[in-house]
Amino acid sequence: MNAFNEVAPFVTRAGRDSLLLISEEQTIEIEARLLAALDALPVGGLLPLDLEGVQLSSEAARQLLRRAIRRVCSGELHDRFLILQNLRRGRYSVEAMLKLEGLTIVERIAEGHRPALLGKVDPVVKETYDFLMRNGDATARDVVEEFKLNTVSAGTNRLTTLNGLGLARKMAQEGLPSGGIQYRFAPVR
Amino acid sequence: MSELEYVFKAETAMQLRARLRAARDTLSSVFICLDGLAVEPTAVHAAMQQFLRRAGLGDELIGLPPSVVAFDWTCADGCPAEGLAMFSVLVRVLQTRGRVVFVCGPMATDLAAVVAESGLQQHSDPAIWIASSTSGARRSACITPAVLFRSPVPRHAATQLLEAVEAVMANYSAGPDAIDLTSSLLMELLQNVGTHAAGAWVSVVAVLHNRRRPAVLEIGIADSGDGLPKTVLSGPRLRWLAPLCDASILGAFVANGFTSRPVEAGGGALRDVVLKFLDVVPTAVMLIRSGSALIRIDRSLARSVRPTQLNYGFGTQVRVEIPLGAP
Repeated sequence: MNAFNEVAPFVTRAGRDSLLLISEEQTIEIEARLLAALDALPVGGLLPLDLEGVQLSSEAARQLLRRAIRRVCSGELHDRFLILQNLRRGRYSVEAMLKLEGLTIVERIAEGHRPALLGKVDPVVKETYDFLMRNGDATARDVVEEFKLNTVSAGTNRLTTLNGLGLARKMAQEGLPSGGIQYRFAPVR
Repeated sequence: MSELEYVFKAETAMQLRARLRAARDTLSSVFICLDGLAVEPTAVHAAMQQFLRRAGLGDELIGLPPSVVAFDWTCADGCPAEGLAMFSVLVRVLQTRGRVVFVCGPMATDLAAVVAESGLQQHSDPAIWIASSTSGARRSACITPAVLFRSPVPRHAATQLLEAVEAVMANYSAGPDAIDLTSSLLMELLQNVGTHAAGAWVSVVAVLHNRRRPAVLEIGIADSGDGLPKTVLSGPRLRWLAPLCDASILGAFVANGFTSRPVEAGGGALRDVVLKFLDVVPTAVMLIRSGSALIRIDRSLARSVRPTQLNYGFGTQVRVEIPLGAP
């Protein structure tokens, strides 16, 4: 089952020329377009931000990404997701900015490689995300079993944290034989 | 023939100096040897900065600044990239202030060729150039024409610089990480110029010293802005440093993440990029002379920062020195 409604990538540059974004001013217009594209996403929508041929300074990266990620994480854009792809040049500036802002995003690295978390990555968040990537999807009980946690709520906390950071989607509700319900989460990838 | 016309006809640096001296009662002038354009050695650099002050650059001195400024390259054997960049800025600033600028061309073949290749002579137009006969061997080459602009950096200038730097590093078999981090570092530095020297003249020069073993890539950035110490004090976060000297302020600025802004306002990324750059290119060195403070940044940055205090300093100069492998 496809967990996300992935739409066409948001392309930052016009044409094939490489694009340097150094200052906030140079990035404001692109950010406005990106926010509009995020707003227009359907429920469960996943927007790949394609940075092919684009190099960002930390200030430009902050202008482009901070508000978009915060809107996804805060729930203002509920059940919408953003992912980076083709971030080849200036990766460290983007990473440094995300770390300083306390933000995390999923990055598609290259074909044949699994997507990875970029920015301020909590080890527990990374561990859980990697598990979801290996499994394809998981419930809190799966997480408890994998990491030998004491309670189901600890597993639930891990998954809801990932969901809150815009790194995983709560995609299905399942009934339990013993009564009650559980949710299945899929990683943004 | 007027005094200025007589001076205009000088054919050598010595002649120019003598004529300016002879005309000093009617024509105010200052003659500046450019051997101190490099930020090191500090004693020579500090001495040259005092001459820049006399030329009316920076602090207000009593009396009118001189109407003629002569720059003399003949005394310099070589000049690193940050010096070449500063030369470009100095000439442009003086010209925009209506001064007549003379430049005595270099006598060292290497320096003369770098000055010619980088386009510094064209940038200094309409300065009056007095050519010198050259001697010596070539040791370095300009990898891309120098750029001179009013901050913020135009996109095409940054693109041209980054492409040239990436091509040279790739030619010398530098790793993709080293290339990417150098590129990121330069982006951050250029962006930073836009913040601390808004509206100021900025020049960027990149020189490859291909006869050194290993070869060294030098990237120099210079601007005519107020300098980092003064800019830092204009923000609330580090204003408490006001009673301290420029060196202490620059030290605190570096320790604070190369920013006067709080982290929540987007400051501090440059420090992260610098540290990562020094991790991946451990032999690289950065020199920053801003205002009257000079700081050398290498891998020991994490342990200690030891700025040097000069008597005076105009604008900011940055040198990034990257030793390369074999081509």
